[in-house]
Order: sequence, then structure tokens, then C-alpha cells
Amino acid sequence: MTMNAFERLLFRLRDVVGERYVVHRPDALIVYEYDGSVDKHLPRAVVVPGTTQELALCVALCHEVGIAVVPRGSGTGLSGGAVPTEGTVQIVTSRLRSIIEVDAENRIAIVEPGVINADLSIAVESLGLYYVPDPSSQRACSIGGNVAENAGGPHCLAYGVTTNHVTGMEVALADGSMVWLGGEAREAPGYDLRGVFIGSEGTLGIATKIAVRLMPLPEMIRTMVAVFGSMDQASKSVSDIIAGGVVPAALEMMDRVTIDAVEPTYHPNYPAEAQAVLIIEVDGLRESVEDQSAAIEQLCRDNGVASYESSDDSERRAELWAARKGAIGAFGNLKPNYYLVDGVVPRTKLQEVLAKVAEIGAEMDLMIANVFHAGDGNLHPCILFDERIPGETERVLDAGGQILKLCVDAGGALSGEHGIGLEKQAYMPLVFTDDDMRSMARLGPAFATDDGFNPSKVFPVGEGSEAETGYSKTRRAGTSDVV
Amino acid sequence: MAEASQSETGFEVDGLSPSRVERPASADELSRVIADANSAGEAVIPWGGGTRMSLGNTPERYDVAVDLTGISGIVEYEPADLTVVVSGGTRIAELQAVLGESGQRLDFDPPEPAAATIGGSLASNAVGPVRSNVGGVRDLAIGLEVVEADGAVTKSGGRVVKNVQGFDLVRLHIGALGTLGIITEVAFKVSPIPADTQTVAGWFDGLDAARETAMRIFNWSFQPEALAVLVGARALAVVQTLAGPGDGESEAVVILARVSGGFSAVRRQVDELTSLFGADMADGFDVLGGQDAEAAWAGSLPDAQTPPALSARATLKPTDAFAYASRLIGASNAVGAFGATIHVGTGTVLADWPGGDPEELAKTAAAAAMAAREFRCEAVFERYPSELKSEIDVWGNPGPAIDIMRRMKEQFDPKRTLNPGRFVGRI
Repeated sequence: MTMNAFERLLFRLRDVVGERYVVHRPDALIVYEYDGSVDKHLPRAVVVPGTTQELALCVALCHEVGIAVVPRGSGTGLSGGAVPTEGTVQIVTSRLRSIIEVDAENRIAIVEPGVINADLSIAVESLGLYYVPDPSSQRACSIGGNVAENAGGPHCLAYGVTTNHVTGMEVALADGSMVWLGGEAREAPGYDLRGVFIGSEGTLGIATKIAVRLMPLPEMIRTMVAVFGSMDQASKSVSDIIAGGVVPAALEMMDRVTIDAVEPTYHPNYPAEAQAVLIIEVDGLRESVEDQSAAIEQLCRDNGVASYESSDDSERRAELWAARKGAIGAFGNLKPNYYLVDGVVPRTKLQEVLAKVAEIGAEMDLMIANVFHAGDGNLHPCILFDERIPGETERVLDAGGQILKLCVDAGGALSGEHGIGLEKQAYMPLVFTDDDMRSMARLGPAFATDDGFNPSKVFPVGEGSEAETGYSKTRRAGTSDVV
Repeated sequence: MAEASQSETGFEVDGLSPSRVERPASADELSRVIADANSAGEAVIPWGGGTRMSLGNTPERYDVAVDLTGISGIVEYEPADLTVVVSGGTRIAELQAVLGESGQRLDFDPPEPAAATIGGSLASNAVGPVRSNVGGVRDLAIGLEVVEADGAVTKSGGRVVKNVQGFDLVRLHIGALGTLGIITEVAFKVSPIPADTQTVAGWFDGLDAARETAMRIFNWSFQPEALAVLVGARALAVVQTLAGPGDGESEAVVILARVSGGFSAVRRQVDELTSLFGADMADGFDVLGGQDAEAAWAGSLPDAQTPPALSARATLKPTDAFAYASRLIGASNAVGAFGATIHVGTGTVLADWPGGDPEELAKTAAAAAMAAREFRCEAVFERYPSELKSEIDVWGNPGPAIDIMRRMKEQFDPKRTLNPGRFVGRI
């Protein structure tokens, strides 16, 4: 495509969304070049449609001239899902923020993709309802982005991740047509296209309306903080709680490095001998909260807990959570940068794998903090570093790869809730064969994407031709002849 | 090598018979069987326990029946992780027995567990009462291995309770009736068997009266592990068992709520339910003990011994599910004892008509399909008179998404080897 053709596209996009919602000056594009991951790349242009019809039209215009689009919600993703690749146009959903409908009796809401996760729960609170999935970024992240990444969060332990709470969505396809996958009801005849779209990382289309189910607010919530003198005691307690048949609403762990990071900002005043902290929440009927919390307290005491506090008071509970929820930001107290590795291990292997993660840190002389969803074995080792030191980022990524390999070798997974994106595409072969990936790559043609959405993500790029592997390994440019 | 035999009986589908039956004992054997059939241009129909073979449109072709019950057994079970990996041909009851030894269960209880296999139940998206207030078996499967049409053995998902690695093909294959691949292995998350379980039944005069109460339970801050509303013949049978023969009007509607958990929590929920039934002026209510509870829940499912001639399944918003069920009652006068179960939480309505003249049944089915469409939903006929099947698509009309589904089939099974013609849109 010639520059003139691209100019023409910009002209047409401006015609659809208005002059101020098409960004293409390089200085203005910089804010769109990154998300919460380590990769960065400038988009060729950014469009911010104001209606779902505008969005679909923008998709169609780009598709018509063979330019791939990269969907972006709030840009809080941690695997590079919203990071543009060469020559792409980014379509941002941040102006699509209406909660279209709330059906309280059936506990269903229909929202636009740019609705902020926490805003939905706030909006339905007076009806005695809430939206369960709660990624740590819930005050900033969008529900559209949550759908793309199949986002999780601390409270997914008992209640499931995004796919368990979204019943359907209207989707803009590459040609600009819009189609509902699933709907407000819990199932529809035919293939579960809703199920495959959720977690497809923006590679199949852009959700323009999303139907979610809401849950009644629990009668009672109790938060417990158990502080241990060793990581082993804390990990053992987690394994014992799960093996004991208690599934709390949330079961989170922080290690010593994380404690050091959060103390100066949140002053949780954990005892001096603290090496690991568990934040545990149980909710539901008063009676089951009492039963479950008693069982949990006993298991923590059996494992030599150093201090134990529990509260049903919402203000105190918020304080108990503050250090955990602010932990990632607090790493700035220790080092300027962090790389958060999202991996999963079977819950019986927590102790073993955490010890090996520590070994990797020691061997490579890297500071690693662990703050994670222990209850479902979802590790988040955060490698803390200073990217200004030459070669440091590469060393960190190398350590991250070693940690992922540990998780996979322990029978775990490459990602629990952040997705593959750009960050982990190279690691997919650790878990999946070429046949497995070829099978997954069939979704693109089935959705007739023509590689028009989020190209060159999820699957490995590099060696091997498409004929050999069944899926493309070339990093496809957004357009064939970028000028 | 897999045994192959000629001219076997017992593998008919809609009156068609295969020219041979294959009985692979492993995914690798199955892979060879499928690859061979695929290159020979033969059509394959996979068989699990054979409990849901009435599902689907009439096969377009049928050469090879593949009996998958030989690919069976527990592959990996770590009770402390609350996960299990099981072969697709394993019977549900067999899996539950193994889990039960460790005080655990899979929260999935479709009909005929002694015969139904895991793979077949997933492929046909079977439903049972448990978890009917929160979601189906799709939410319990965390990883899958399938044999594809070209013989490739592929996997998706993982073996840990939370994983988002690559695309979610687990959900694609569940409910796909084996048209994209044959399920050979499944990883599930499992649950501890609750310390206590109780069922409370309340019966009402008419669906409107029951609806108010059932929706109140649906919207309570606690969620029963199963919540079903029985209508027509199913309700009557339960009422007569509980209140004595001769009792119960033909308009009787029964709410069954099963609560589980710790003893004190269960006691509290039973109290709340009985008070609610009292306050909402139920005609009667009862807390059911072990066998009575089992019988009542069995009554919420069609009888395996005398299968109905027509079954319709539709999933709607819960309030619409009641309105739709009420339309079904109106449409059913001509065809005798109609029965239906509304799984309130999922909004799934399972309705049956025991028998009768095929033409009359077809008219009833058409009325049911129309009733569903009033609520922007499609009725799927899980049973339909064979001789009239060619006149309808038993899956209803999936709308514009059918284009994506057709391309999906083309991608996964271009030669249409697996179950050709049986799925939605005669895919």
C-alpha cells in the first residue's frame, strides 16, 4: 500500500469517528505502544470509535485495505495482547462505556466492551448483586479486555474465571459484520463459539456487547490474614486447606520480598519473623463462613502460624487486603522495574516449585518476589530489576523462561490468567505440539479473520514454514508494503 | 490392533446400520481407525454408552461405528489437587466410584451414569440436576485430548484448575457431538463430597404460583446445589409419592431444592426453604430423606426404561423459562402425559412427550419450536420421531453464527468423516 492509500484510510476513518478520535502523529501514538507487559511497538494509527457501529465500520475499512487491527481495552494486559505489531491500526474501546441493560431478576447485565470491571459491580451493588471476576487491575481494566484474555482474579478460586461468567457477546468480525455468539441464556445450539472467543486474545474479532451473569452479594464475608515464619509452612497450609476440602473464595500468598515491598507503603505491621503471609477469604452463609474459617484457622495453627487475624468488618477487611492489592505497585519501593511471570502448578507442588524458583533467583542473582493466587496454584513470581542496566532485561526474560519451564515440568500451565500474547508465544511448544497448535490456529479461518486481528500473537514465530507446521510462524506485518 | 467385525447389530442410528464396528483400546488405535476411514472417504459415528444416540439429525452417511468404551480408565488422580484425568470411554458411575473412595465427586450427574461415558456425555452436552443453579459440565472440564478427522491426536487446556494457554478448544468440543474430533481424555476439577445434603420439595397449584417462589430461591444469597421445577407428569408422580396416591392435581408443580455443605449451613438453608414454602402457601412441602430424595430427583429426569418419543431442550433466561414451559403445557393437550423439568439456574427446560402418533408429535414439536422463538431461543429436539426427522433440523436455527460453524467444520473435518449431517445445520 502506498502512503496515499494509508492517508485515504485515515481520511475515511476520520469520517467515521471524527477527526479527534483518529490518532496518527508519532508523539501522540506513544501512549498506545505498550500495555502492562514488557513489549512495546508503535501502532501506525489509533482509532477510538464512539459507538459499536463505528467500531465495526472501522474494522471493515481496515480489512478492506488489508491492514490488521489490534484491539485495545484499557491496556492493562500483562502478556502484550494490546501491543501493536508492525503496521497495525489499533482500535480502542475506551469510549464504549455504557451498561446497556441490567435484568436484576434474572441476574444478567449487558455491557459495552469498554465498561470498567469494577464499575459494573458498583453499578449493581444497590440491587444486591456483583460481577465476580476481579482481576487485580479491576479499577482500570475493561470487560472487553477481560473477555479477550479470559481474565481471572483472587476470587476466581471458588467462582471461576471470565468464561464462567460471560454468557454471550456480540462480535464485530473482520468484514465489519456483527454476530452474537451465545446470548443472554446460558447455552445455545451449535458449537460453543462464545467459549472459544473468550480467551482468544483479540485474534478473532472485537466484542461490541457482552452479556454477563451477576451473582447475589454474599450474606457474610470474612477475611483472614495468617503470617508464617517460613514459606514451607505457608505453602503446606495452602495444600492442606485445599486437600481438606475447603475451597475459600480467595487464597492468596505473599513472600518475604513482597512483605518488604509493601511495609513502607501500606504498613500492615506483620511480625518481624514473617516470611510468608496468607490472605484468605471465605464468604456465603453465616454458618458456612463460621465452619470454613474455623477449619482454616485450625490448619494454619497446625502448621505453626506465627500470627492470625480475622475480620468480618468491611473497613478492616479492606485494610487486610490493601497490602495484597497494592503489592505489584509497591515493588517500586525495591526496584524500578518488575517482570511478572504468570504460571500455574498443581497445588500439591507449590512447596517444591517455589523452592526451585528461589534457586533460580539465587543462581542468577535476581530478586524474585512471590505474590500470587495460591489456592489455585497460580504463581506470579515477580522478577524485580532495573532495565537501565545493560543486558538486565534479557537476563530477566531468561529467568522467566526457566520459571515457566519449571511450571510445565511440574504438570502445570504457561499461563493462569494473563494469556500468551507476545510474551509467551515462544514457550507454547513447551506444552503444545505442532498438531495441537495447528488445531488452535483453525479458529482464525473459521472466523474468516484473514489474519486481520492481532496478527503474530499467541503462536510461536520464527523457524519453520507454514506448510511444515500448519500455522504461520512469520511475524506478519499489518500491511504488505509499508512505505 | 483394534478389532473390527462385520455385520454387528446394536449400532443403528435412526434406522441406519454401519458396515463395520471398530473397537479401539487406545487413542493411538483410534487414531489409525479414523485416519483410515478418513482416507477411504468413509463416515464414522462415534459411540460411547449409547444413551444419547437419538440426538441429532439423520446421518447423511454411516460406514463405521466406533465403540469407544474400550478407551477407559482413570489416567491420573491426585485427590489433594482436586483434579482427575480420565479416558473418554470411562462410565460416569465408574469415575464417581473412584472419586468417592477419596471423599470426592465430579459435580455432574446426567441420566444413566452406569452406561453413559464421560466422552459421550461431554460431546452430547448432557445435563443433570447438580450445579444446575450455577453452570454445566463445560465449567468443570479443564483439559481435553481428542482424535481429529485426519487421525491427529491433539490436546488443549491443561491439567491444572486454572489455565489460559492457547485457545479454549475444550469448550469447542464439548457439545460438538464429535463432529470436530473424538474425545479420548478429559481433565476435570472435582469437589469434596459435602458433609451434609438435603432436598426440600414444595408443591404448588400451577406454574405461576411456583414461579414466584422458585425465582426467590434463585435470587437468594445462598445457592442450592440443584434447583429444579417439575411440571406435568413429572410433578404429578412426585406429588403422589410424597402426599399419597390420589392426591395432586394435574396442574401440580413441584420445586425441588437440594442444599449441601456443612451441617449447620444445611440446617439453616432447610429452615429458610421450609419457611419460604410455608409463607408462599405451597400446597405442601417436605424435607426428603435419602431414598425419597433420590426418587424425587430421578423423577426430574426422563425414564431410561421407557424413553419418550419426543424431547425438547431449550435454554432461556430463567423468567422466560417459566413462560416458555407454560406455553408447552398449552401445546401438549393432544399428546398425553407431558412432563418437563426447568433447571432454574441455567434456564434449561427439558420437556418430554411419551408417545403417540408421529404426525401429532411433529405438530407439538412445531408448537414448541415456535414457543421457544417467542423468547429468542431455539428448542433442540433431543428425541424426535425417526421417520419424520428428515423434515426438520432438530437443532433449530442457530442464526448468522451458522456461517462460522460451517467454516469450523470445514477446517477440522474437510472430508466430513465425523458424524456427517447429524449436527446443527446438517454440518
